[in-house]
Amino acid sequence: MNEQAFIRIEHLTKVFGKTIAVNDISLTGKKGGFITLLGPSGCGKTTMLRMIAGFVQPDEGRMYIGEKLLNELPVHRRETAMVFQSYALFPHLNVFNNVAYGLKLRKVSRSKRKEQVERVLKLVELEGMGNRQISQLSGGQQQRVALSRALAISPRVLLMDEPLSNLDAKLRINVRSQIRDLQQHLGITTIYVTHDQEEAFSLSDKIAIMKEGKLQQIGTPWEIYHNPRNQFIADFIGMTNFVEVKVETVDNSNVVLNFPGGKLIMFREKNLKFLPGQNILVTIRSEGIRVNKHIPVSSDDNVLKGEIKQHSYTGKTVKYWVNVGEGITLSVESLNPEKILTGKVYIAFDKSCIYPISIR
Amino acid sequence: MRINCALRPFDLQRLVTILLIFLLIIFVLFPVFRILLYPKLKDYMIMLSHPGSIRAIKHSFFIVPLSTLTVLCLGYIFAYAQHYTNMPGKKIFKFLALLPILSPPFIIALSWIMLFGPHGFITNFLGIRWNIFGWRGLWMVQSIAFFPYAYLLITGVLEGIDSNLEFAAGNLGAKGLRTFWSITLPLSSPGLVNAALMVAIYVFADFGNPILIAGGWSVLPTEIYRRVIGYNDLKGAAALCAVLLVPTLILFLAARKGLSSRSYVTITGSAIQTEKPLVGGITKWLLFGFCSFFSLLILLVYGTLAVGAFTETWGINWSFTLKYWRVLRGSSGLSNSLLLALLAGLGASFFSLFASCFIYKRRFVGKQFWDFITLLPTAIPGIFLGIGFLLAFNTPPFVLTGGLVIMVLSLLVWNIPLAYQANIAILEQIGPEIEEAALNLGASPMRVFGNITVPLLRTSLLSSFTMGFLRAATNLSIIIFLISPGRTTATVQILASVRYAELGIAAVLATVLFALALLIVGIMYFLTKKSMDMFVGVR
Repeated sequence: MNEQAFIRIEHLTKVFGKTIAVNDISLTGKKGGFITLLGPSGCGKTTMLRMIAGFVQPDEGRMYIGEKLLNELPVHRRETAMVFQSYALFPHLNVFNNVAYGLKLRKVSRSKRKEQVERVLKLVELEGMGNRQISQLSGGQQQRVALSRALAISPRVLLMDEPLSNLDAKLRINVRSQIRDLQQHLGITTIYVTHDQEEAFSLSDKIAIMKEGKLQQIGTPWEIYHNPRNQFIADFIGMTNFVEVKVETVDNSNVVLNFPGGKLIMFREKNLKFLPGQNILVTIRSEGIRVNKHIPVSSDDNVLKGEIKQHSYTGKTVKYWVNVGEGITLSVESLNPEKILTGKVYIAFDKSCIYPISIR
Repeated sequence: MRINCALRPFDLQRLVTILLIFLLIIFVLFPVFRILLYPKLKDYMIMLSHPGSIRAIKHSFFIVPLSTLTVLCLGYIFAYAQHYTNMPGKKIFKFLALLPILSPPFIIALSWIMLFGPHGFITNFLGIRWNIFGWRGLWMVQSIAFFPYAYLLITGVLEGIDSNLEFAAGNLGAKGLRTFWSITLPLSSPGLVNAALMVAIYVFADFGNPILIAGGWSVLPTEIYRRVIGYNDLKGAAALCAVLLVPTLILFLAARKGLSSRSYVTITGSAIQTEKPLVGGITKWLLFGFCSFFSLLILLVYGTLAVGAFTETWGINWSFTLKYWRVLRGSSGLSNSLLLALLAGLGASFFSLFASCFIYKRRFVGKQFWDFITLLPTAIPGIFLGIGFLLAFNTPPFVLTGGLVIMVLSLLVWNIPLAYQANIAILEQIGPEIEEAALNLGASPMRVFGNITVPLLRTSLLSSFTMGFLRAATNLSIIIFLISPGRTTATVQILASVRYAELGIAAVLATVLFALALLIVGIMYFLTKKSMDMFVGVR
């Protein structure tokens, strides 16, 4: 079996009425890997997950797990346990019986069942809670019961549909790292759906970004962050500074760009071609920019003059909107601020903080 | 490239759906068409020009709006008082207000006659002469008999209003009843219209009250009855049944359309609170006065029956007697009623369970139509259904007349929509994900049905069984056409006793029937712990 393409999805398409919910998507995922489908609501990510689970029938395309073609299998034979956004716990069964449900269907003996349920409840730190009713649990606990219920049947693929969206912010981060640990520890192949880029980045081996049913980019979190293929992706993963510039000169390692406030130097990606005189769209990572009251003495590649228009202080960071002339405003995120600056400033950033989004 | 995903040669689910559709055709569509096609065009023409039927049609269209509006006002005031005040005795009021559901509707008429009739208790006491027969009596009696339905429907409407909207009105400066006139009433109006349509169907179909109290002032159902019993004119009766179906069907269709289209209630969705802004001061005490008066009236109605069961000769000789209780020994009416109610209640729950899972939840060609047919008996007046079953099942291929079977089946069909709606309400509330989760964990569709769906529907099944039981035990309009010698019911016996002026016997039977209904409700309350759950289908 090809371990690298344990999950194979080929030309998957689903049409609801006039909207193409999932438009000819193909991707592969390795065994034990963690793939995230990331995108705004309505991008088709949940529909895709539901097709893999079998709740929705695709109009076109094939889905494989290992050598097995999923399309022909009814839902209950797919071995793709799902953690639902609403958890979908059985309200008439207690915690133990919720987790044991899948095992019972697999005719696991009573004693083995007990052992296995206790094992997975322990994994999610719910040992001893088997007798509780679902209604007696907090949201976080329900979430973990849902997870353990899915893990209990040792599925070939674990599917998760925005499992953290009903938790409060702090709990979300805890459970997030717990999910990652468990997945690594058990080596369970996982497909995860979310609209939260931070969640996607911190959990995944591979991220597939979707928009309006189409796959925009697929790659490791690092690849996507450092080489977003288009403005939508860059925007979606939290980049804010988009500037259209003209290429002046190109050499082996650098590209020099004509920017309103002066020249900018950009690191040259080996596989990208630039021509002098060409207009390109670049993004500048706001957390890579430093703000100084005085002209910086360090060896920064790029230094610009500007004026702070507005700021917002969150405690950990200050965000500035700096006007650098000709109506261009850059957002700057300054971590661990000593004080809040105002007025005229200098901004400086490394050449690796600027990269092209698209070449026009 | 297209791949057929669900290749299963033998599909049990589809088979169940087909079986259900088959049953709906035989027991819903067939009796309906049998009535519509039984009279020839000539019979329709005769009936539509007959002075008696024209009078009955006119009377029906006079009394229905009148009683419906009255019932709606009473129900609204009562429901409003329950939700928007902290008046004392709310629980008792609620309990008393719902009592008329537990008894045959026409029991109210019987009691009314015992109170205000020529030999009535109050008539005697005050020493006046008045005529309670005719439309005035009918109007008052129907106002009490159908009040609980309006109350329940309106309670649902008021609970659906996001109380934050009302708090917002107060917050913006609306004082006192201003919030009611500017927010609560407009927001409840779509639901109110819907409640009016449903109540109007009940009033149109009412047979027991007019036959007892309206006297010669006939409405459509009593005129139909007279055609069958008095003239043995089944063709004419069937033609009039068709006429009666027109308004009830239109009302039913309008209610369905109203539910599916706009309703202010559904917009706000999740964050609905049940805590309402309270009104106080004089309004509260006026409402309290109203609720007390109405509750006392209901108590008086049932108290009168209980007293009547122990009275020698009502209105003439008030001495205590137990002689009428002897009727319980010989008669099979009461035991028949209970048996019918048990079977019809169970059957309707059982059928609706399958219908909600294999018609409502599945997707197939023509699903909407069959969903509609499952609900159609709501629109069919009891008298129509009774004659429909009589005509449909007294000739081959289906001969069922003359036994308990046909009575059970007709009452079962009559109860299906209520049970079906109760299940659907629960299914919509829990959503599809729980069942998907079970499938996803490896349960086959049939296992999901048994392991997950049935347990989840437990409360709605229990409640629809209760409602079905009560409706069947208290029904008169259907059953009166299907009884055969030796196979009568308590309700038919009560009617006959009133006819023969044996008020004592009627009172005994009514009291026992009512007590049994209370007992059933008490058991259900004990099982579900929620009194209002019982009426989920009505709402």
